[in-house]
Amino acid sequence: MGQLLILVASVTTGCKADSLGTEIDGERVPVIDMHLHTGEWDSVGFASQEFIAGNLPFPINLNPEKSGNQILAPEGIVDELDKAGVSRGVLLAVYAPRTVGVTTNEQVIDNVAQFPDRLWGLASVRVDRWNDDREPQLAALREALESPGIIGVKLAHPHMHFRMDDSAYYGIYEVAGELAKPVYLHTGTSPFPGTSPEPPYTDPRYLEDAIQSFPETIFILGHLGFDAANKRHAGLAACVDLASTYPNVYLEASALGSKNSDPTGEILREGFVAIREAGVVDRLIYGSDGPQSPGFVNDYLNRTLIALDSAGYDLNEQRAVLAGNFARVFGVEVPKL
Amino acid sequence: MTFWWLLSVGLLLVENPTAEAETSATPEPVTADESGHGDRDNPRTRFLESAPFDLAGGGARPGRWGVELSGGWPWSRLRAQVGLAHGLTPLLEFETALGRRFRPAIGLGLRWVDRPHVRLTGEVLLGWLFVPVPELKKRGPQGELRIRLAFPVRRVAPYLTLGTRHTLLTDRLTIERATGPEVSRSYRHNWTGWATVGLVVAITEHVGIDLGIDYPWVDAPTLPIPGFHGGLMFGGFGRRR
Amino acid sequence: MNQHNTFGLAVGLLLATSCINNDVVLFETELVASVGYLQAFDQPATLHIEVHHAEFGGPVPHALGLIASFEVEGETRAPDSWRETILVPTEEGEGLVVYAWLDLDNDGVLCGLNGAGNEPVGLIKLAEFPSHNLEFELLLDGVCLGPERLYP
Repeated sequence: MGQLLILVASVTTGCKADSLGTEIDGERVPVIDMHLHTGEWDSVGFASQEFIAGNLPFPINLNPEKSGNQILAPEGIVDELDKAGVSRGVLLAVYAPRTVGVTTNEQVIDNVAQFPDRLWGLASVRVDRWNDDREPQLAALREALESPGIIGVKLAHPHMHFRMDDSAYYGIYEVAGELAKPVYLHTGTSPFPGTSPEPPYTDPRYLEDAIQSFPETIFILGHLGFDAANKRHAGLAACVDLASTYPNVYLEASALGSKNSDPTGEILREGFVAIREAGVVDRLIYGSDGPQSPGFVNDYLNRTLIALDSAGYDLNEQRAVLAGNFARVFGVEVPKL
Repeated sequence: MTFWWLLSVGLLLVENPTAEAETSATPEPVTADESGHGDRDNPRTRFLESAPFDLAGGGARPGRWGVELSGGWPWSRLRAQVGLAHGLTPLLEFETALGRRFRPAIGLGLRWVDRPHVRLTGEVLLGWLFVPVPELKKRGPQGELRIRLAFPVRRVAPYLTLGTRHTLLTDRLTIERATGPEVSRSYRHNWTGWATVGLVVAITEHVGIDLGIDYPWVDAPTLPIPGFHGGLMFGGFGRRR
Repeated sequence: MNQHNTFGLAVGLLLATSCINNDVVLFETELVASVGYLQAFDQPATLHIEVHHAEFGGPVPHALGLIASFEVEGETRAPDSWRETILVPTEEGEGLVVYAWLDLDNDGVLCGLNGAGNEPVGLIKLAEFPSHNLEFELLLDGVCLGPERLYP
C-alpha cells in the first residue's frame, strides 16, 4: 500500500521529465538544486515531526514515518530530481536537535556515495555543546569535508541556536576557507517550532563581521533572509547589500517562493528583481529546500523559472542562476545534457 | 481487504439462489413497486428500485436493505442500510483510510426527492473518529450531515455525495499547583469536508458495482490528494408489493 | 423531557465520553530571584529573562528548550530582583535553567547592531527543581552571550 501511495502521489504531482534540464526560450538548460534535505524520520524531534506531518497532504500524512523516510531517502530524492529534470542535487547535513533534527555527515556521505553522478553533499557540525567539544567537532567537520562528494558546509543559526556574530564559532569559517569549501547559511526566521527568532540568529547583517574576517571563505546566504514565520521579506536588502559589498557573498532563494509562502509568486519575483537591480545576478544560486513532499522539487523549479522570467532575467542570466554560478563557486563542472 | 471481497462474493453465492427462489415462488405479477418507479418488465425502469440505486441515492423502501463493501485508495468502507416506515432509513458505516484513520458511525437517512430519475437524500450520522497515528493523534465523537444525489437511468446511476463532518476533540490540562492538582478540559472542533462523484452500475436488481472518486478535505486547510474507490453493492431482497 | 433537555443530555454524553487528545501536565513554580551584576547600572534598563528546560531526552537528546520568557523593567536602575510564577511542562523535558540579559540600550536585542554593546548576561541551573517555590541568586557576569554559550 505504501508503494501505491507513492505511485498515486507521483501521478497527482507530476511525471518524470523526458530528459534532464529545463527548457528556456527553446533551449535546454541544466539545473543544479543546491538545497535538498535527506535523513531519517526518527532523527527529527517530536515537535517537528508533528509540524511536518501536519503539513503533509492527506493521506500521505497518515504514515508520516514511512512517507518521510521514502521522501528523504536518496532514491526518493533522485526520483524527484528526475521528475523535475534537475541534473544534480546537493544534500545537506543538519545538526539541529532542538528543532529540525539531525542528519549526520555520515548519512550524507553514504547517500551521496549511492548516486555519485547525481548528488553532492554539504557537511555540518554539531554546536550545541560547543563549550565542551569545539575542537573534536571541528576535527570531525574537517574530516567530513575531505570525503568524496562533500563540497561545502551547511549552517543554520536559528535552528542550531548560535549567534551569527559569536566569534567562538568562527573556527567553522576558518576550516571551510582553508579547504576552499563554501559555507551555506540559513538566514531569516524559520517556521519550525523551537527556533531562535531573534535578530542575532536570523538577520544576515550579523554575519558581516564573519564575512569581513574570512575573505577567503565563501558565504552563501540562504533564503535571502526571508521571514518565514510571517511570510514576508525581512533580510532581502541586507543580503543584497552584503553581496554588493563583499565578493565572497552569494545568495540563494529556496523555500520563500513555495506555494505556501508565496501563493502569487510575487515574493520570489521581488527577490530576483532586487538582485538584478543591484547587479549581483552572478551571485545568485538556485535551490529549492526540497524534497518536502512529492512534486515539490519540480514545482519549485517551475515557480522559480516564472519568477526569473517576470523579473527580466535573460537566457544567459537564467543559465547562470540555475547552474553556472554554482559550478563556478563550488569548483565543479556544469552538468552536460 | 481481500477478506472483505471474499466475504462479499461468498454472501452473493449464498444469497442469490435464495432470492431467485423467493421470486419464483411468488407468482404475483410484479410490474411496479409502491412508488411506481420500478416496472420490472420495462428495461428502462427495471432497476430504478434496485438495491444498488438505493445505496447510491440513499434511502430505501420499508424492509429493503442494502450493503456496500468498497475498497480503494485511501478509503475502504462498509455501509449497510435498511428501509423503515415514513421513508426513514437507518444506516451503519465503518470506514478507514489506509488502516490508520477509522470511523464507525450510525445514522439515519430520509429521501427528500423521490422521482424516477432523481434521488436526493439527507443523512445524519454520529460516529467516533479514531486516528492512532502519534503525530496526528485524534479521538473523539464525530457528526456528519450528508446529502446524496443520484440520477438513475436504465442500469446506471451517476451520483454525487457531499458531506460536512465535525469532530469534537477534548484536551486535558493538569496544573500541579502547591495547593494540589487542578484539572480542566477544553474542546476543539475539527472539520472535514467531503465530496464523492461516482457511477453505480446495477448488474441485477440485487447486485451492483460502484466506482467513484473521493475528495475529502481532511485536516483542512492542508489540501489533500484525491482518492478513488470501487465497491460491490448487494441487497434488496425485502418484501415487494 | 423537552427537546432542550434531550439536546443537552446528548451534548453532555458526548463530552463525557470523549477521549483525551492533548493531555498536558504543567508544574507551577514560583521563581524568586535576586539579580547581581559585576558593576552598577544606574540607568533605566530592562531585564530579559528566559526559562528553559535543562535537558531533553528522546531520539534527539539536547540541552535547553525555551519554556517561557518575560521582561522586568528597571525604571531608574537595573532590576535587582524579580518574582514570576511559571508553568513548566514537565513531561517535555527535565531540569530548569534561568537565563537573563540586561538591555542597556533598550533596543530589545542582546548586543544588537549599533547598540550599546557589552550587555551583561547570566544563567543559573536550578538544581532544586521540581519545587513550587525556588529562590535563587542570578549573577550576570558574562557579556553578549546567548544561553547556548552558558549551558551546558
